[in-house]
Parts: sequence; C-alpha cells; structure tokens
Amino acid sequence: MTPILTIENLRVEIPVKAGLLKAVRGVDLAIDPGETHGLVGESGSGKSLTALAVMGLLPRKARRSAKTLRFADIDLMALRGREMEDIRGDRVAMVFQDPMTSLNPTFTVGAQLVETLRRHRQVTRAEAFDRAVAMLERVGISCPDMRLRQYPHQLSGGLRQRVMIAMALLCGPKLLIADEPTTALDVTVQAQILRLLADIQRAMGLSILLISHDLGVIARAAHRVSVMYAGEIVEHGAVADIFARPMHPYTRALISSVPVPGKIKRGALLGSIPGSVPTLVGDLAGCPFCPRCALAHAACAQPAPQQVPREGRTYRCHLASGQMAEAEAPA
Amino acid sequence: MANAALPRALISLPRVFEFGRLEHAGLAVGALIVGIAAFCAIFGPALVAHDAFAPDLMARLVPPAFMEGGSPAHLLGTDQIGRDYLARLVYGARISLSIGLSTVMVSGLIGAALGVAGGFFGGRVDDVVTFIITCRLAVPLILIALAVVSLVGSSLPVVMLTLGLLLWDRFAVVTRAAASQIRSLDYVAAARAAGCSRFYILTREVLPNIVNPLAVVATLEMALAILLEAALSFLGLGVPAPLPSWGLMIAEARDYMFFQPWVIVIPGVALLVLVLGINLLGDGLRDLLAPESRI
Repeated sequence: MTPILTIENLRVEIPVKAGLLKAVRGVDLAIDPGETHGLVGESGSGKSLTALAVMGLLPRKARRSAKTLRFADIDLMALRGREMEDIRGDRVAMVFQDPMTSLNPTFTVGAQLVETLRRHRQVTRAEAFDRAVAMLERVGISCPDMRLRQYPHQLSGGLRQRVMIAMALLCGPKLLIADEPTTALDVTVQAQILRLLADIQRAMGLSILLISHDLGVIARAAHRVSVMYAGEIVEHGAVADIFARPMHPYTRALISSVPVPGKIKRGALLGSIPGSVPTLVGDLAGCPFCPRCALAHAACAQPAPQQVPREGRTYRCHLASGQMAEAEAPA
Repeated sequence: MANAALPRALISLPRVFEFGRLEHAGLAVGALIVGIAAFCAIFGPALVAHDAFAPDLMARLVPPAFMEGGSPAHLLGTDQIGRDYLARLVYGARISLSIGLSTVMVSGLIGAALGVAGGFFGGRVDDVVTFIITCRLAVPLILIALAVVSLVGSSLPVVMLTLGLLLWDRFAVVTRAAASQIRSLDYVAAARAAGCSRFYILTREVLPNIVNPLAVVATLEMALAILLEAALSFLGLGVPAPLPSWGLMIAEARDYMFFQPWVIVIPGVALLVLVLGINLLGDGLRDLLAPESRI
C-alpha cells in the first residue's frame, strides 16, 4: 500500500538571537490511506511545526528541508505558493486547536463555509450553500439551516469545532491534519468529536494525522502512533503495541504519568518526568532524553541508534529491548 | 446573505438604546449632536429664510432675537454687513462637516492602506511603513498646512486635500497594530490552511476585523480636522471669504467682541459643541466596541 503522506528526514530550523533553533530534527513518517496516525509529545517537541511544514504554513522565518515530502504522488517540496494553495483545503485540510478563535467573527458560519468551497470548486452560491447544509448534517449539527445563518459567537465550542471539521471536509480531502482538535473542549465533547472523526474516516476513506499531547486521545483514536521528543521521533508503532510494551524510556515515563482510574491508590504520587526539554538551539551531542532518563549510562552521550525490534516498530535508544527490562528490574 | 458583509459593530449598535444603559449616555449625546449638525448641514440652508451671502447694510449687527434690540426676522442676529447669522451658521456646519468627512476619507484611505500593508506583510514592508509614519509624526502640522495653503492659494478643496494628506498618521498607527495582531490569529491560519490567497485573507479576514478601530479613529480625526480648518480660516489661510466658515466668522467677529460679544460667542459655541459631540461619539464608540464589551 503506498502511503498517502510520506515524510523522510524533515527538518525545520528557525534562526533566533541565540543561534539556529532546530525545532524538527529529521522526522520520518508515513501515513497509509484510511489510517489515523497519532503524533504525541509534550509542548515544544515539534509536533505542530511538523504539521505546519507539511501544509507549507511555517512562520516566515522558519526554513524547511526534507529528503522526501510527498502527498500521494505530489512532491510538496517542489510546489510554489499558488500550487500549494490549490492543494491546501482541497486535498489536505487542517483543523486547529482552538475552535473559539478559528472562525472569523465578522461573517456568518454559512458565508465562511460557502467561500471555502467556492475557493476550490466552481459552484454557484446556492449549490455551495446546499452542500454546506449537507456537510453540517454529516458532522452531526442539527438545524444546519439556522446554524449557517448564525455568527461564530452564537455557537458553543463543540459546535464550532464541528463547523471547523465540516469546513475542512467540504472539498473531500484525502488527508486531514488535526492539531490538538479536542484539547480546548470538555471531556464529553472531546469523546463526541473523536467518535465523529472515526465515523467520517470510515465513510470518506480519509487519512488523519492526529496531533495531541494527550495519550488518552491517541489511545482511543489512532491506529499507529509516533512519539516525538525534542524534534525527533523517538518511538513508533501500532497503538496497542506501544501502550502494552513501550520501549523508549520517554514513552514509558509518559505512559506512567497518566492517571488510570481504579489503578492508582489514594495519596500515591503519579509518575512524573524530572527535568525539562533541552534547548533546541544548535546541535545536541547525544541522546536528547539522556539528562532526564532513569536508565542513562555512558553510551548515552553518543547519538542513539534506531532499533527495530520487529516489523513496523522502531525506537531510538542505546538499550536493546532485552537490556531495558534488566536495567529496570532492580528499581 | 446580504448582511454577511455588515460588520458586527453595526449589528450591536442597537444595544446603545436599551433602557437604563446610562454608561452609553456620552455616545447617545454625541450621536444626537452630530445628527443635528448633519441635519443642519444638509437641509439648513434651504430651511432658513435668509441667504447666507446677501448683505443688508440697513440691518448690521442686529442682536439675536432673544436679546434686547433683537428682531424676530433674524433669530441669531446679523453680522457686520447685515448677513443673517443663522443662515451663515447652518451653512458653516455644511463646510465644517464636509471638511471633516473629506479629510477623514482621504487620510483614512492613506493611513489604512499604509497600516494594513505594514501590519499584515510585516518584515521589510513594515520597516518602510514605520519609517514613513515616523517621518510624518516629525512634521509640524499647522506650519506645513499654513505653508501649503499660502503657496497654492486658499480654497475649500485645497484645505480638504491638505488636511487629508497630513492627518493619516493615527489611522496608520492604529490599523498597523490591529492588522499585525489579527494576522497571527487562528482564523487567519485556518483561512491559509483552507488554501485562501493573501489577497483574500487581506480583504475578507483582516479588513472587516479592523473596521471597529478605524471607525473610532475616524471620528476623532474628524473633530481634529474641523478644529484645524477653523484655525486656518481664523488665520485667513483656510476657507476664503465670503464662505461662512465658523473659523472665518470668529475671525470677522474679533473687532466687535468687546461691544457685541454674541458675535463671537455664537460661532465659537457652535464649534465647541460640534467638536465635543464628535469626540463624545468617538469615545462612546471606543467603549462600545472595546473587546471586553462584546458578547
């Protein structure tokens, strides 16, 4: 199966006063058709910049380089401004974190949906309006006619995120990049939105790149997951596999810091990761997680090798999977 | 979707008139004053019985009707060559308001274009815009206006254009700040992610959202333009006689102010009230459109 999105050795660098901020350091990623690929990591790990680099929406000063950046059979690195605009919103769409500020306050929801559709498709206003109605129904908004005539401030956060998803799906994209789509929402609404995304994915054969810092969201919604740390993908594999047998010390720490109802004892401390993300200005000598890693040893001053314990599963660490269990046993 | 293009500011205006909202009293008073002045400017000269330009040497410096020696024929009296003061006053409102409006249109266009370009595109463009704004701020306003008018000759269009070409700085500063703030908002990012061009984002995402601050600056600049025109006319370098500019009326009344103080008080009060009204309107709009007062 040829992936819908192929990223090889993607780098994003931003010149800052202190030097060159290497925010994304050689990311490899492949998303299959119909797959939800989770990208998880703490803030500042380069998740969003990876997404923006794919969309060609990086901040002006940022520089992007990649060995391969291909969407279906289109080389995204070769596209110029206007060609990229034609793809954005049409074949690759994006949903942002905060639905409260993602809609223009001066126009009705309908006006914004209609304009977006007419940007990419030669349809009349009336046709576009009908398709907007159908799409709002599709994302589970009741009374779509009335909603289309309302202004963004008249809708709740959950409704607005549904509108944003409807807007993103209006042209029938092949890939949807969802950057923290549920972070700003209530937990109950969050579950609804995730279910909606899964339904739509099945119906439309959509691929989703789901970016989140919330392991719970990833566990529920993604098929495969890539864990990002300090601009690198440190572990990658199928969701069930990663949660059952995390390899990289960072992934293990991340999973142990999630409270599981029923499993935690009253008064017991949740796991936390000491220290903070290293500065990404300039090059890092060894493994970026080394200063915070409980299993660090002398070899960690060298860049960590990519380990492939089995098909479709990689992680970036000096310890082989057997060694890791040993090293952890005494503790 | 005819009302789609209507800025939200205008939609929320009816809230001013909800009962018990004394906090917007200034806005209501300002709107009333400006409304009356606009009515006088448009219909006044047709409604007043006398011609603003016809002298009547038999009836010079007749006091207003409510003063001793006044006549009901001239409600606000007559000036030193017997022209009806009320007729001249309402005609003057027309001059003041047209100066204010045209100045705001010219300067608003220049200022908003510069400000939006600088704020939206940033980088080099912004550097150039900031430099131009700084240069403009270093220019002494009155002196340049005086010099230009005395070089080119004074006429209504010259005054309008001179003020318009000089008073755009606040427009530029405000729109630049607003545009650069809006540029970084999520809905602009969302529009870009939807494949919208820069031109589309500029006209549909940025411009409609800076209408509110622009409206506020426009009222304040209008008051300033009216005052400046009065000052220029007072100095004899603004609107040429016999046009009844309020500044000119004040200038002509100077010689009589000790014995007939009403001659100078009437146009002076008119000027004061109009400028006050416009400023109240502007302040009220600013409070009303401030982010925290939005629903």
